[in-house]
Amino acid sequence: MNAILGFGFVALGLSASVFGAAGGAYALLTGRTRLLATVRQWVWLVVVASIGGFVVMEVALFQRDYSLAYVSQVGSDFTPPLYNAAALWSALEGSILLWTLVLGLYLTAMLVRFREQRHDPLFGWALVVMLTVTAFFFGLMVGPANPFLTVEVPPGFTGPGPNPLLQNHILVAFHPPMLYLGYVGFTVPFAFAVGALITGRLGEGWLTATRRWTVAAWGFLTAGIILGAWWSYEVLGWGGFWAWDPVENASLLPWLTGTAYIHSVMVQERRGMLRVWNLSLLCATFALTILGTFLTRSGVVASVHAFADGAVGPWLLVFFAVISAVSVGLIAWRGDQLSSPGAIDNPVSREGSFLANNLAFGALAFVVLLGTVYPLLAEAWDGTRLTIGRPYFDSLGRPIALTLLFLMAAAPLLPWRKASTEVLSVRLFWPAIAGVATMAAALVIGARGFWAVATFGLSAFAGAAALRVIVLAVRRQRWRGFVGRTNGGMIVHLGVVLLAMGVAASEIYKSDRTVLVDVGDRVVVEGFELTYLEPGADISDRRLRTFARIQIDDGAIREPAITTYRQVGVVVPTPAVRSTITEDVFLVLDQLPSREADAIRLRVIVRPMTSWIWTGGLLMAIGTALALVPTRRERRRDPARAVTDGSDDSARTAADAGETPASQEPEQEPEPVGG
Amino acid sequence: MADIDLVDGDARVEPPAPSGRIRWISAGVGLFLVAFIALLALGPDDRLDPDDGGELLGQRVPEIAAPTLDGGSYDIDDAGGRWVVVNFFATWCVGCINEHPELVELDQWARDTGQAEIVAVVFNDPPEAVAAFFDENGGGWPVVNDPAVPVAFRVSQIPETFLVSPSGQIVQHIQGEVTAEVLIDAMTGEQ
Repeated sequence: MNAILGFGFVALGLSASVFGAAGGAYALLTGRTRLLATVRQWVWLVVVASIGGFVVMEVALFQRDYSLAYVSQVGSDFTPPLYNAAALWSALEGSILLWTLVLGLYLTAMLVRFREQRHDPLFGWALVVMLTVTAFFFGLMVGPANPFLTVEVPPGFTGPGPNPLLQNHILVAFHPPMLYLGYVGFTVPFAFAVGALITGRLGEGWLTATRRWTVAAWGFLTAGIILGAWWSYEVLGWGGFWAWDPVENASLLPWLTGTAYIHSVMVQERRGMLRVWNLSLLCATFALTILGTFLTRSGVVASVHAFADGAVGPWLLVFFAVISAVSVGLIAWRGDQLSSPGAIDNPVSREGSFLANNLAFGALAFVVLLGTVYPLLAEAWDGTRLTIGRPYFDSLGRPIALTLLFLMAAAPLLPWRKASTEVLSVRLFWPAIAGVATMAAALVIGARGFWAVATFGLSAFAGAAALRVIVLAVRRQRWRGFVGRTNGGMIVHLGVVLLAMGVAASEIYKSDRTVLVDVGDRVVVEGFELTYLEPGADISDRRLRTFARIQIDDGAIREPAITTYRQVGVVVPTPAVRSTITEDVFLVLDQLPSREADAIRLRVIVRPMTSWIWTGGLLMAIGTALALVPTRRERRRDPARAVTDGSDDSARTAADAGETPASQEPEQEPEPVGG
Repeated sequence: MADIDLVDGDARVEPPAPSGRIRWISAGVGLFLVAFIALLALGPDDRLDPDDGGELLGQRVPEIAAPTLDGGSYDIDDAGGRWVVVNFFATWCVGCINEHPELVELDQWARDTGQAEIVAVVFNDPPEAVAAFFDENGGGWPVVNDPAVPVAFRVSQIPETFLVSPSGQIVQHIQGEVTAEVLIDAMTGEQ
């Protein structure tokens, strides 16, 4: 029953997507407006199908309907409800169901948000692109990754449950949906970009209309990546949060190009420049989400959470090729209309710093992409097998990251067009003091090494620059000084500052020791007194958990454990972390407490300031949300109307196109009253 | 930015377009992408083979028909209506050594009830070592040594065990150590 119903929804999704996309494209090419209006009905059917397929699978998981092969693969009688719900996206087929669900949600939001643009060809093409993407993903589920295949299981079959690593931490329920909201969210601006290229309406109208969508997708992607790092830290017993694993890199790549876009798009809105570049960044961001999915879902790279089902690999690669061809082809076709009016007058200006920011993000994206795919390309070229690891990413990534920190400090201080020395010296004063003072303080409390100390100094410099903007805005506008793109963006910068300091301290000053302790023993590691109180075990139908109770400094008690998942017989270590604002004590049992000896092998990893990373991530998410709140001016002029209102016969002239006087836009260009 | 230009920029007075340059750059990027995609697509066949790496659960069991180490021969099609436990192992694998007593217990149950049989498949191990291992640790079930079998089952990390239903369908895939209890429960429908 579930199989028939579920596959029905998938088939409905595919056919509605195909009919909608084909009908829409035909209507747009031939100018049949009545036919164009019917596209909305197809979109609603796609939405119904995407929600329906997801719901059917969740119902099947909760009914323990093992007649579905997917449920018999990831479900079990013993999985608690939260992990059972999350089991849906614990393997390939279900993860595509989640992908189409998120596409359906974004389609719903598009229909609601742009309901007044239903006859606009640009929006029509955007819907056609969205439906083409949904057709592809529903097609995957009709073809090589069908989640609703049936299977015959013996009576009494209780199921293996999801991968043990996906059923022992609450973050599993949040990290993948967040990440998908981010990945899939970039489809929307891509769709509008293609619409703009096809219709030739290449001005800033579509940019304005999709600005919030891009920022929201970026925020979800950021949250998804950081939650993933946190999950990896709390669940995988290796004691780190980022391994430069291909699947991590796959999520980082669109984040890098997306971050570059969010910055450079401001130059285009303000000065009308960088059009080709911005379109390329958007197309690249979307293409990279598909390339990343190809890399992690096709089994071409080894990874901790590659699903390794080769069947979808060729399909994803073809889709990536189609996206690349369409993007490059359209940009080349419209090349003559895309040239930018004007040029950057002075490199020491806001737009100059954004350009440098883009070069740095581009370079970092290239470094990460090369490090991820080079082993594949080398093997394809002449069969060489090699791995690229942390030293490569660290040595190339660190200088670029420091450059970006510096730019993050400088850009908010620089005015548009041209900076005068007087303005700069006033604005730079406090941030520079903060940076130097932080470096001095770090040296005094014992921080050593160029990378760490430079990171602390530049972070404080950037943090003070961001704070300065917020303080000035709050003074003038009270609580409104916290919202809007600029102010929200500065709060995101503060989050990045915390994150950068946390990463630097946690990575550079970590210590890692393994000690042998008996019951009652007390050992001192990095100044922490650890007492092994007693071993313990708890047994349920689902798992057998053997743990050691460890007291840290006569206070907190932590229980690092080794857990055997009984349905699959897999043994995983479960670390325990004591986290404070200054440092984390991370405990992992190296082996099961043995029957013969009472001593346990305990791995103790001390990582300073690790909680700053997660706090920084939270601040980035909050800042993104605040950046999405419309400012007063924006509410008066609804950007959603921009797609149509910004019609081709506008009266705007070049004279006022470039510069808006600072007085009209107080929170953007704060006067240096407080500096 | 609060003050946004809602007007499409097309109407701005623009300098004559250097369109050729953008086309040339696009062509260059396009060529690069073609090469990139071709290299990814032409990558090692074994990796991009659609049959590779998928989950076998629920599918018909691959063929196991090979000579056994004791000189006989084994064909899974002869199991005829009984459960088959297919166990991949090697003598150098710690998990395999740990689970061996469980398999001995399971084998005893299988012989007593006549409902099931075990077949072990050697994973990258010389026959002499396997023979010595069985002499030392007991166990009288057939052992086949055919490198094609682990490939057909897509075995990557031993111990791995597959439970095949009497109708020839793979109903459980266990990575890591097994216990007799789990397998017997699965076969008898108890929990």
